[in-house]
Amino acid sequence: MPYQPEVRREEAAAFLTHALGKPVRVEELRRLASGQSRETLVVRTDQPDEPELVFRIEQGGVLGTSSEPEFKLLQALHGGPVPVPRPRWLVEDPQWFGYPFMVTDRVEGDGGFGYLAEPEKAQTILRTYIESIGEMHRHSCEELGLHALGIPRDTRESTLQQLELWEGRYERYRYVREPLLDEAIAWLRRNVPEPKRPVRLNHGDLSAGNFILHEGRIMAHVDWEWSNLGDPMEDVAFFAYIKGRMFGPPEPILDLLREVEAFEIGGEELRYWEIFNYFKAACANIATLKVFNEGRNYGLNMVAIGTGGFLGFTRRTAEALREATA
Amino acid sequence: MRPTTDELIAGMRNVLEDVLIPELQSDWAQAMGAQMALMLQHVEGRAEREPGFLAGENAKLEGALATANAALGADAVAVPARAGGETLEALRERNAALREAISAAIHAAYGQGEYGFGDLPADRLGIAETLLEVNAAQAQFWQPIGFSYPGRQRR
Repeated sequence: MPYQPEVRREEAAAFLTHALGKPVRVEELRRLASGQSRETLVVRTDQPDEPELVFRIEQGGVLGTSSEPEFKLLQALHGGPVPVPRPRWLVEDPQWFGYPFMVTDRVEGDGGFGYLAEPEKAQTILRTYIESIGEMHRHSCEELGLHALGIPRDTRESTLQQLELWEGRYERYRYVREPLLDEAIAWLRRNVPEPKRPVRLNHGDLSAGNFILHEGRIMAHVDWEWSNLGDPMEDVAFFAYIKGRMFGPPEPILDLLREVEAFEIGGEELRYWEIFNYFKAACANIATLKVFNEGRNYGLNMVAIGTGGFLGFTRRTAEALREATA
Repeated sequence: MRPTTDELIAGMRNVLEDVLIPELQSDWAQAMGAQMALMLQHVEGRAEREPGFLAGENAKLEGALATANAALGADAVAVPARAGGETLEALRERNAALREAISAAIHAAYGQGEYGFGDLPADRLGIAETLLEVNAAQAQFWQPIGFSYPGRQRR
């Protein structure tokens, strides 16, 4: 059953009563309007020893991801140098909300991006965020305790894995072929960069709105559903060319990233990852249409993402390919 | 018969924008109301627009396929047969088949020789511009559905 506030309040109370083994009342439940891949609810209960909780409910395959890998990653990362919310429950059983979901503690701070309206403040936050990105990429996968997730041998192997993953989503969710994307897939396969740096943790969706800020500090990185262990140039290009545009144009952001990353940023490799990320965004966006059309999620934003969003990223993929090859 | 489908849709949109959206309490409900208004705007006249749009796109794709096949020579791919009639369903089926054929042509071009970092098969085949035009026309067709709400646009 898609989102209905009163129903969700009862469902959340029922789940928490079950999970905590005692009667729980939900005092407040609000849905965050941001975030496309999960129905995200912030829940305050009548339990004095429980912090506010964040429920992230799958939406029938929106953006082609599931909760389990994200939850396992949070388990591995929590308490380490990369700040994340404390994971509480991963529930595959659809009896509670109709879809699998995960619950974390709510981290104190603000996950919104109202600061973007204040350019000076936004630039300060941008610098803080970029420092935290550098910190994320500085640690080896072993240092972060990620052995159990399966660390690829090198960045070539991880890149091929990522390509297969996103191509698979495109094939599963598309209605018709998109020749420009088919061309891009073939090009991306033929031009995988040679391994030049170690495999690192990629967030996969670095963005304003995907970190919690409190008193000028990054308290947690959230929304890890596109995370992977791979070439950190993926994160660099994704932020600079896609979501970082909320802060400003790519070049100054790339300059800031050069200050914090331990590897060289530029050349054909950067081009490759720029194109890869547009392709990835197109594949993620097309996933929303079937989810909407099959009634698994009737959020009308699904249509905007699956049409305008998909077409826009397809075009950017094709144009960036041509700029790269000019 | 009056009101027509489009007049009914416009009436629903007016009520949605003037009566319902202002009453919605949560951010989520307001976002959905705004999306619904955009969608109703898109739906007005779509039944009349879509067949001509698809026929036009198919003509462009047929042209692109002919150009690609001329460049491919002996490796030319099969041109999909025309389905009977010009119904919306037939147009959609042909559209899907043409897209399949053009993707096959792109792969066939890759199979013809060496390609470096700076080479693209759609460019070599001379069809890249047409494919980008098709993409732009699609984006136009889906207007005004998008990520932001431009405000009320009464008929």
